[in-house]
Amino acid sequence: MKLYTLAFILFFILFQFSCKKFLEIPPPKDSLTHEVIFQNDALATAAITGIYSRMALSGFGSGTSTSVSSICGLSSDELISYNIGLTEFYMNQINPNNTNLASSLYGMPYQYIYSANSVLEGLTMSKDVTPPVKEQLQGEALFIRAFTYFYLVNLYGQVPLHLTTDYRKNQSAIRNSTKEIYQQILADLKTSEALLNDDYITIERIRPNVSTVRALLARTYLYLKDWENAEKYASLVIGKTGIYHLVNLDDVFLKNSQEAIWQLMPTANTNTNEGNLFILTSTPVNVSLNSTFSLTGFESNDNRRTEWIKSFTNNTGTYYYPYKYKIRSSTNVTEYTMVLRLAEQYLIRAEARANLDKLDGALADLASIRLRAGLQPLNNTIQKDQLLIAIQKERFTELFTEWGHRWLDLKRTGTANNTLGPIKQNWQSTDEYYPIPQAEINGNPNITQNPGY
Amino acid sequence: MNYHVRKILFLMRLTTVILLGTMLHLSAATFGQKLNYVNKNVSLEQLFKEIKKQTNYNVVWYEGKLNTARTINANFSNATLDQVMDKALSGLPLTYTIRQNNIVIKEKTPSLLDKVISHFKNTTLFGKVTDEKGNPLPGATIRIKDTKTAVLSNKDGNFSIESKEASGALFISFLGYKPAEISFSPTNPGPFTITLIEDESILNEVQINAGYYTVSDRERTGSISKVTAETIGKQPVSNPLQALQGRVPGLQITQQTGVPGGGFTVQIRGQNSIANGNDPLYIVDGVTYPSTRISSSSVVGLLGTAGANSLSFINPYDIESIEVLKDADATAIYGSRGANGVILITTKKGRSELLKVDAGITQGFSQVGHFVDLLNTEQYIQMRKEAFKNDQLTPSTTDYDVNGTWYQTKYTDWQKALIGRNAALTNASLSISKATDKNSYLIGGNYYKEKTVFPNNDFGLRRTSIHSTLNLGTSTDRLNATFTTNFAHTRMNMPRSDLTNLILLSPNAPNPFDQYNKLNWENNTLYINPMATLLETNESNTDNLIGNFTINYKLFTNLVLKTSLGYTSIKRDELAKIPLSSFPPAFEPLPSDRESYFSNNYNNTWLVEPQITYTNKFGPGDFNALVGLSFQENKTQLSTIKASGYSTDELMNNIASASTIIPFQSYFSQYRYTAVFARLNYNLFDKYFVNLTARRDGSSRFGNGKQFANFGAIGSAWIFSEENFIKEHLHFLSFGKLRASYGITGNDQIPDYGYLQLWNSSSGTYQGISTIAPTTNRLGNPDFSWETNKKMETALQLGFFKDKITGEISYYNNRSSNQLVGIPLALSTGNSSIQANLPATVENSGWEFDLNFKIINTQNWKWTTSVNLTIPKNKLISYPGLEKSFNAINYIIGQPLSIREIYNVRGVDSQTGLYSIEDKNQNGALDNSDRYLNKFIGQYYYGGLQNSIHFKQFHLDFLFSFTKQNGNNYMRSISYSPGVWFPNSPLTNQPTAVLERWQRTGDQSSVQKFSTSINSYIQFLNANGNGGLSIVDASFIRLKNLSFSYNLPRTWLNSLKISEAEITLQGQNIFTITNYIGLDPESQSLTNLPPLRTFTMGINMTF
Repeated sequence: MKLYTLAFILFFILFQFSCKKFLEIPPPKDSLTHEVIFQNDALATAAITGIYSRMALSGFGSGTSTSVSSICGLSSDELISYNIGLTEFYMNQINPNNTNLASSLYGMPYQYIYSANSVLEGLTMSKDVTPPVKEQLQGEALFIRAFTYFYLVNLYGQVPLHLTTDYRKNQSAIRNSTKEIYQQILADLKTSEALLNDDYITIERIRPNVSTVRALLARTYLYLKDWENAEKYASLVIGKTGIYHLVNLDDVFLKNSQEAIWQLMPTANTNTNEGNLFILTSTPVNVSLNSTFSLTGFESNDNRRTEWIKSFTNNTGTYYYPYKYKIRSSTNVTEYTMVLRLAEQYLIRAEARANLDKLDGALADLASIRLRAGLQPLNNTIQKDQLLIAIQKERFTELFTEWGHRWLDLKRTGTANNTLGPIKQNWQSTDEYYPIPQAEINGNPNITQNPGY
Repeated sequence: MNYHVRKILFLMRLTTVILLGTMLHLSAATFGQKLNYVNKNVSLEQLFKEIKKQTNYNVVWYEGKLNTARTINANFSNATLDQVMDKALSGLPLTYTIRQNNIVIKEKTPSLLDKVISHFKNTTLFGKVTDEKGNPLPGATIRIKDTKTAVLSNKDGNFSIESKEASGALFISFLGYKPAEISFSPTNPGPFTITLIEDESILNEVQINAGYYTVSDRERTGSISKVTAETIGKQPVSNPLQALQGRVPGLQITQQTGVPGGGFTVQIRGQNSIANGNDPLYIVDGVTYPSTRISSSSVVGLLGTAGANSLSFINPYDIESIEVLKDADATAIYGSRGANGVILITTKKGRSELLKVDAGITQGFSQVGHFVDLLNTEQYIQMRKEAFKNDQLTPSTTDYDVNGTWYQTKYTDWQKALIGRNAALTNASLSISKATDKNSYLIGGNYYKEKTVFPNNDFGLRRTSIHSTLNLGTSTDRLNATFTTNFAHTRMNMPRSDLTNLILLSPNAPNPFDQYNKLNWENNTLYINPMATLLETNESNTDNLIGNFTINYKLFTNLVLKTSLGYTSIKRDELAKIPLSSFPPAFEPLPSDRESYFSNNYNNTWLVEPQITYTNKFGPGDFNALVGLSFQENKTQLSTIKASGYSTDELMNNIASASTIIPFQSYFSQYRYTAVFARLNYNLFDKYFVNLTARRDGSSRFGNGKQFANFGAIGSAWIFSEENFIKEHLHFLSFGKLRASYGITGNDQIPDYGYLQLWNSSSGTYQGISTIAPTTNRLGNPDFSWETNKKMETALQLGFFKDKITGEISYYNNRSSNQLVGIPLALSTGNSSIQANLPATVENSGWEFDLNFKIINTQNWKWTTSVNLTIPKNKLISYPGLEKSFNAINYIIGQPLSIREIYNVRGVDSQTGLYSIEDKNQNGALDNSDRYLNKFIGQYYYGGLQNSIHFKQFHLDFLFSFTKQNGNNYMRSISYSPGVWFPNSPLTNQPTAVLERWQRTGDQSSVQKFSTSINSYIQFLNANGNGGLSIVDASFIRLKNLSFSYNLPRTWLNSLKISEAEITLQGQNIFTITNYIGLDPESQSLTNLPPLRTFTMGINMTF
């Protein structure tokens, strides 16, 4: 009997051992584990470029109908909606359950932040990535995090600020104040500035360099009304005349154009989603450009009106569309999605200088933009407040339908109510912030909703 | 120990005394018989046959005591039986006795004294067991009543048994026959010829496959329902699941779509798991079969949310039986996978002793059984115009339907046009089978073809299947083996989307074709042309192989070694095409928009299960033990390549013609699983039964240290009708059994690798170099552990009036806790979910009733009726932190899982004409906290009523299934509010119910006003989506199945060499009685094809 018991126990132990061995399976062939990625330069770099490729693919940064450029254009007075999924933004009556809101404008940016945090944590632990590559990647990850939070804080106001991938922390986070978020954006950008180099890491302008970081710093300071720093950082970028110039209107959005500070490369073998979305060849099904702006928004000789806006007419009417990107669809890739460009830096510096009462300098910066558009410089007798209005108008005509500039400008200058109230039927001042998606509140009850939703 | 040995020796001696005594007494009678036989090296078996032949004397011996393979040199010339037997047994410790026509072989006696003692003690009884036709029945059990002495009859049906008492009774029992009793006494010493009568009673001795073992229905301790080939064969279905609907208590099967090969949801005893993983475990011929969807994402819309159902790759007519295992006693041996019950599918085996050829062919058609009443053009135009009037607007340039662009008198009934066809179906099968006493085989082939109700006749499903089984040896042999293979090739050619979702196209939408029979886009004002939609196709080829090899080796009579090897492989390739011609020209599609998706899907499982079974007596009862090991691996691989840049639509089948090829989808997973399992069964006096099962499981789906867990159950049964006091006092009660079980099973239906945080390259390329990104659909979590499911059941099985009425009532109560779910995360975590244990407990309890009546049972007339009824109850018992969780809006503690929290819709506001929805928290907007009411969606009860009537050669069977339930209002699947229109999505027709709308101030009405405004649209969606209007009574009674058959008289057939021929008329889903408005109360959708009505006619012949 004892022998049997012994045999049984032995059998059981053997079974346990062999079973445990049997259950050890390798990670799936189509995937990599976190540990493997930060063991070599190429994979760690692929983790960063993965964020850009996803940005360019769809939603948030891509220039599709659900991107910032399209949605913010609809919320302001730039675009008109023909698509039921976009109409809520156009009507400024957004349901917190709107799927575009939840996925493209909130979920996706947070996915980029998660990836950036993942890369930052992975690099910190890693001993195998070569130091220069590590610095470059850290700088890029910090830049991406800052860039994404910049849009989140402007679209939603207070949002949870996640600096780690630990879901247990993030899952129960509360909304941080806009001040805290801006502080973090500045801190990330300053660190990034110290890590990145003057030159682009590849021959193309599709991964950030130090000027990219400074361009965003200039914009952030402008939004914070820190005019000195806004001027300082804009100047640092504009000063890189060896790399950046203003180019002909038709050439601005070409890939690696001399005006580009940072571009996103579209999905392989395609041109930009903006071109595909905006250029009309039939009755619009997504968006068209506000005809009032198209017809009356420009000074009479403004070449941007003729070079950057086109129309389509059929039996149902005439529709205007942005023609900054000229290619609707082609496998011959000539255009990239512009994210940061030199003209904005001139306009930032003009606005900062005007606010610092450096009117001459402001006028000179404005003149650079106006001259390229075929317009005369403004008269130097202009008063400061008139000049500030002129700068806002110039921003509209220069930066329309790019990355929500118009929507954010109306909000930060406090002119949204006066501008949009008369032309938008359902406008309420609480519409300046989008609602926090219901899915976020359902997932984390500590998150509160914005007023008015 | 020593005492026992002595006692046994004593008994042996006693036996021999009798033998010798009787031999002396009888030997004189044998002189008359002489034998002539010369043969060298003849086996005793042959010799005994010869004796029987020449003298008509039977030779009887104790099974196992005599090696009949022993050979002697026979050289008998006119020899007496004594001489022959002496020679035959020379040198063996055996002797023999002759009584009447029997020669009984016994052990030799050592001492004369013992003989004398035993002479007064033991009686040897012998005889033969036969069936009604006089054929011997080997393996029948002969027991001396009220003792444990029992023997089995040998292969000639003969037996010999000793009794200590000189008089008493023999109890003879055999599988499938009514047991018999015969008394013996010194005046009636035998030999006995016992004729057993076949038992048609359901309760007795029907063998139930419980997976690792079989058990008779009479003796089972667990809850197992069985559906046989006979029932399945009466139903014109393409998926075996359809054949189970309405027939098994506790099994809820919902067909999601009428598209061939489409999805089903299957639940045994309710929803255990909050999130997912409620599929039962499927085992086909001993091999686990995937229940996960195996189609690529490109056809999911067509085939229902579950995707292509893998069971549609199995030919229902190859199935011998389907067993549904429900309670812990039956399922615990499947351990971690048994939480949601087990469905065992066993394919057919060769049975007939003669070579038998079965052939059958069936032809028929399917159609949509019921259409919805939709607005005609006149009503539609009136709706649209009224909407503009209400909004004080006029139609714009893009309101083509009413602004004069389209004819306002043209009318197309899009339901008839798009899903109104009859879909032809053909089923042809041929099988050959034969069984000898050693081996049996069955080979068969089947061809099944089903078209669709869609306009294009090229669409449909074709399945060619081959089935074979080979049995070597029988269960009484030392070595026996079974080899089973099922192979099916299924070809599906389908549109990419279900055309049902286009039936709401404006009724005055232009003709899909112009006068030249080209696609008509009506000057680019038509954006959806259904015939263009049909050009987007999905073709798939699926090869499905199920192979099983089982070998049994009887090491000792009571110890059997068994190994089961199984392999399942499903290979599927798909080609989905989006040709340029399918795009509306208004979208200005470019040649680069042509896309085809090439998918390859591969799912294979192998399984090795060595087992040992041991049977013996233990104390006064029978003891049955099973120990086994299980090793299993499953690999799933899916890859889809997107190809574009074709120069023409015609070349889209060829990937080489594409200029751009990119990987679109890539998925790989590996699952390993191992277990040790055991079953101990104890049967006392055939009255009391205890069944213990246990399993220790390990699964690769869990992180290190969490891989193993234990599961087990105890089941018991008491056949109280065997008790004397019942027998004596309750004569009407022919069978009564009380059984109960309790146990723990688990659930591992979770995605693989949940414990790993992974990165993959699905994010595309950047600068031509592949990029990687973390998987965002779930976060790795190494900490989750097993989910447990505690199941309790008690049941009463009864038979009245010689089993003319039989019934079973069960009550079950299952609780699952520590639920494994993908917990959705806040969006800002950057991940949509994480695999984790949710501390929630869900209870499923309910009553199940199953009653069978044999109303008439005469030579010509037979009528049986069965009714089953299930009353399920589902309840969320606890969920700590529910109010603060993501599920706050989905569940309420104390309520069923299937509730919807809804807005309070207070009808239509008589002033505004819009639905009035209560803003409970009065914050000026509708949000989740305004959904303060809740309503149950699901079944209150369901069941079936089956009647089977036989009159001479006519057979009529019909099944009514019934369900009392709440379901989704059909308006919930309508995307647009009445009055709205969109040029690029003109699916804006409405059911006629909307004519009850509000028209002017003060109107009291049930439907809100017609309007084109976004406000009315949002209000409509709120009221019908998550409002009180979204749930309605969806109860129904359905004539699920009708089968009529006529067996041609044999006299006609004999000349044609046909042994049997049967003509059948069958129908499925023939009519439905319901108050539900919509296409079907089962699928509850206006966008999915409902379950179809089918009629077939066929002939089956046996040669």
